[in-house]
Amino acid sequence: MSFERTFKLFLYMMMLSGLAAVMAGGGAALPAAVLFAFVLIVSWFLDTEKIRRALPAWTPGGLALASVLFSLVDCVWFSRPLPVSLIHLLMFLAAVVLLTSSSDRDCLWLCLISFGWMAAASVLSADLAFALCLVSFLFAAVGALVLFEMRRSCEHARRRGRISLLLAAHLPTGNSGFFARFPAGKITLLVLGMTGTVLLLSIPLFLVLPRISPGTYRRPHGRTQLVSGFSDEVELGEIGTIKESETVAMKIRLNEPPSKLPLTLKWRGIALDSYDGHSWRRSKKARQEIVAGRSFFKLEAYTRGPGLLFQTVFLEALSTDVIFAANRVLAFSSDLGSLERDAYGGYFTMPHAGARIRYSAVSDITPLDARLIPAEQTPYPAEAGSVCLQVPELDPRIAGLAVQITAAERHPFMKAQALERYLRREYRYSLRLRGPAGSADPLAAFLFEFREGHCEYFATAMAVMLRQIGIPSRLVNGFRVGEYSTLGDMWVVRQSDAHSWVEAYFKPYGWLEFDPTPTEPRPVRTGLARLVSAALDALDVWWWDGVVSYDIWKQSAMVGAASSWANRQLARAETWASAVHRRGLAVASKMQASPLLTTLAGALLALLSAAALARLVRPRWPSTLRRKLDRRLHAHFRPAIILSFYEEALELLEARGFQRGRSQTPLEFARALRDHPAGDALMELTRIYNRARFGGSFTTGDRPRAEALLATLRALLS
Amino acid sequence: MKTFWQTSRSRSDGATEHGRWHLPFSFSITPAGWCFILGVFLLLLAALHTGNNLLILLISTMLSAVLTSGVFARSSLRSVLVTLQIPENVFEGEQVSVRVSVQNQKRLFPTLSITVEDLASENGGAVLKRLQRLRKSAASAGPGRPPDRSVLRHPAYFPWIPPRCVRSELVFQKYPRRGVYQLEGFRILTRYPFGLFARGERVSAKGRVWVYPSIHEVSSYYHLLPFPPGRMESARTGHGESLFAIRPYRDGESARLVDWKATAKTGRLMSREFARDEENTFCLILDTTAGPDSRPDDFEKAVSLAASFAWHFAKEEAEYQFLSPQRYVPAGIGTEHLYEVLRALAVVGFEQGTSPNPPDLVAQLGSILEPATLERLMSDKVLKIIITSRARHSFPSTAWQSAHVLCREDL
Repeated sequence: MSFERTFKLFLYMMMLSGLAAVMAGGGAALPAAVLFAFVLIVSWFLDTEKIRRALPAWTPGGLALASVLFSLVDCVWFSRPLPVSLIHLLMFLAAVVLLTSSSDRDCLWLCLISFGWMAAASVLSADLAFALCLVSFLFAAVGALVLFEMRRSCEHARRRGRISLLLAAHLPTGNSGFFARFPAGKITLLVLGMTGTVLLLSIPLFLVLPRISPGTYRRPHGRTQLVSGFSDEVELGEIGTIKESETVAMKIRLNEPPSKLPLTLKWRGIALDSYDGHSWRRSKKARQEIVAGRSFFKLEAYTRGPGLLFQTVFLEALSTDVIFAANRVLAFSSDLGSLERDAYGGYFTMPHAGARIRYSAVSDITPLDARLIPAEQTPYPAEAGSVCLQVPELDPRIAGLAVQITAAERHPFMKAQALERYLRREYRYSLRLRGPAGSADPLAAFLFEFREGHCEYFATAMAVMLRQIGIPSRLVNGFRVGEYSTLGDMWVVRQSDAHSWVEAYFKPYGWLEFDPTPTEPRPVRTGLARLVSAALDALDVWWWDGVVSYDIWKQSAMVGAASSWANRQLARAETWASAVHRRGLAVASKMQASPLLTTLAGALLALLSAAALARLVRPRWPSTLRRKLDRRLHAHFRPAIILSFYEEALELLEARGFQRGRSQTPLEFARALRDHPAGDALMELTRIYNRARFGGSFTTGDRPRAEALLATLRALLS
Repeated sequence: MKTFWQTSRSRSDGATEHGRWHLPFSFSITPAGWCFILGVFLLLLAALHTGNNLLILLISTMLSAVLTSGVFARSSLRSVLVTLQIPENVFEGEQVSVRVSVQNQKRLFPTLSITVEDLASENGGAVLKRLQRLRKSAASAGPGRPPDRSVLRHPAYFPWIPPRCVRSELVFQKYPRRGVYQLEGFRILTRYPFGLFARGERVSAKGRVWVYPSIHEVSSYYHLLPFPPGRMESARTGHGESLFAIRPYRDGESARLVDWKATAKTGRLMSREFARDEENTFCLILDTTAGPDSRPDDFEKAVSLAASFAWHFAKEEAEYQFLSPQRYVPAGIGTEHLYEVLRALAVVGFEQGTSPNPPDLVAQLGSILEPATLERLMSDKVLKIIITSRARHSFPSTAWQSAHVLCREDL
């Protein structure tokens, strides 16, 4: 590929990366992007210089002005946000430049526009797609800039008097003019290496650049996920609609491995207490604002036991302000910004429909001891009062069924467990609801006709039956624990993991969880799909946690970690040094016993130190020493001495970059360097060498002369 | 061709140029680099204000690109060996081709986008440096301004030198003025990889180029001068090499003088008689002193004319000597002698006088010659051509009696 084509390729790739980043952030309308891509393809094949020459001089400027006007109209009439209008404006300008580009300045404009798109995309989106676009943009930008610099430097040199290059004697027309054959592959490899270096170096820079402001803009926009089932009123069956989606709702990192987690672990969302036969709602809508501490919102004063679960939640941009964590939450991190709690233990933060959020939570998951639950539960406190015991007018068979199931048990907690077991055992899980949506009593239809449904029906059935036997209960919506990703060491929770369960009130614990839904049949992903999915999830969390959410707290934590690592290493070094010291003392005490050993060790140490010092001061001393010995040993064999001098001269010259070619005779090599300041000395030495080695003629004056010549060479080359 | 080698990697021995210390490397920010820095600064402000980590990531990559640029530029500049080949004889104003070669001695990495220029060159540099130079040149404009004495007059650009390879480039250039051009070293510059920073390294190289005065075809007008081709011969007999006559043999003459062919023809002993060769017969004198109305341009014309005469004499294989108040070249013949005269002419200087009565030329010549030699030169036996930049009326009339004088009006 020619220089110009390679340069154009890098430039176009740069533009496409910028455009893709903007598109990923939703910053450009699809038709505009398609149109621009079309212009890009067309301009690749066009001779844009010819177009520029054919057009009147004012055309590009006029078109640019027209695009500004159009952008105003676009912004005002089509009600687009200003950033999107600006991006469209840049697209139009880029298209004009692409079709009429004729100079280096046009290329520079295109680079600037694509960089502008990347900057805009950094504001519009925080997706992993941005990272991929950034890497691609970086590669293309590095390539384009390197080639652009070469082109400009060449032009610069030409303007300053260069007339021709030996290399470019017979160039095809249209070539940039300084490469007989452009090494596109090697340049691409070089660009790849350079991009890698830039990326590697940018990591520490990113980590150390100061985060001095809490930021007025901390959460770039993302795609909003519409989720149902987490509002004040939830229609029965509503949660089943989101269970059909495999979209990731959140990712959670825990401090415990999966094997140590309780099997019933779920991510609690909201609780609903009032049931009217068709829908659940919250009877008390008031929320209480929680005051943030230094780094946590403290929610509970005590724990039930040692079972603490630390969770770091990466919550996608959901259409609800509910936040999720394992029950019973002790604290949330203050990076949520604001936190509210309702009367049912549900937690809410500021709406984040357009942004992902990250927070930490600490939950108490200590298993309860059923023996501590008394058989006598009444009277119930106000929070578990009347509403949680209310039952609407339902099919009387439901109450009968509840009594029938629990007849064998005396203890209220056992009764609840009996109901849970019964529903799990006798009913089937299904997302395909066969009953009409507007059925008069959907619960009765579930219990007595179809005998299959999804979690919401099971939970509702149990909650209602608990109330009918006098146990306060409520429905809870949240998510199952999700799928564990070993690659990212995290739990990936999808919308299909949305779940409903029951909370019943038992003294002294309060609200306890029951899950009457039988095991849910889930498609199991295996093989490559699972691996790719896990890798993407891990990458996404790394991107989200390590890059997008990196803040001043993490920075200080990193500094702290670095400091403690350094301290550890220091301590280890101290330990090592003291061990060495002790060992040395032991050896010294042994050596004191033997003076010969002491003398030998001292001499060896001194010798080694002297050798090391000499090596430091005169790095070539070993070869010098070897040569001297050689000359002394071969004093009687004169050609060998001269050979040694000549070899040293060659070494000296090679160190300065003058290497004798394999095809060169000594005399040819000396002749090649005749104009060098050291050329005369080399020539004379070569003659002596030739005479001694090949002529067998060696006079007594040759050795001192050769030594003198070598000294001259050394002085001239130093 | 004469070859100049790079003798040392960098002038880290603290060498000075024009009495000022120079670092072995140079670094400057290009206009694009300033724009880049401004962009980084603005983005940094936005990023710190908004706390947007993706903007900070962009800035990190930009800063990282700056660091990478330094690393790769350094890698590109290291382990390169520059050589310069230039024709042996260079004349003022004549276009010569100079071959600049760069050897990349690295084992793995190529050298990209480097420009080689003379250390004494006034080309190149960033905007600020150019502005500084402009200011300096404006301050030093005028006759006292030192001329550009760089050997490599134009930079040579090398886009790509693979590892362990040599690339060469021909630079066509002219030396505008005669004289000695001293090579102090090369400056290897690069704006690679991104064109944001210009980095340069100085490497030493020693060399000297004699730029001879320009040679012109001697006008036919000057052919009227008594220029005898070859050595001038006398009408008297002597021990020269040219045959003067064949005459009867005289007793006591050497038998080697006997012309046996003529003896056989005439039947009596005939001997050959040779003409006596004249010694120091021809002298080219350049007057370097200026009259009150002399101009440097006229002196340059005089020097050029002297060089042209010398060239003409050499072409005609005439024996001649050269004399100026600054240098005396004894009589000689052939190319070596010509280039010795041309070297003398290359460095001959114009002595600007302020006095209305310029010093006597003979007295000036006496300062560099033995009295006997001067007397012999000034005698009638030697044909002298005096070239001067003075006006005809200001040249002493005594000189006209024994020499052919070419004054400013004749140049």
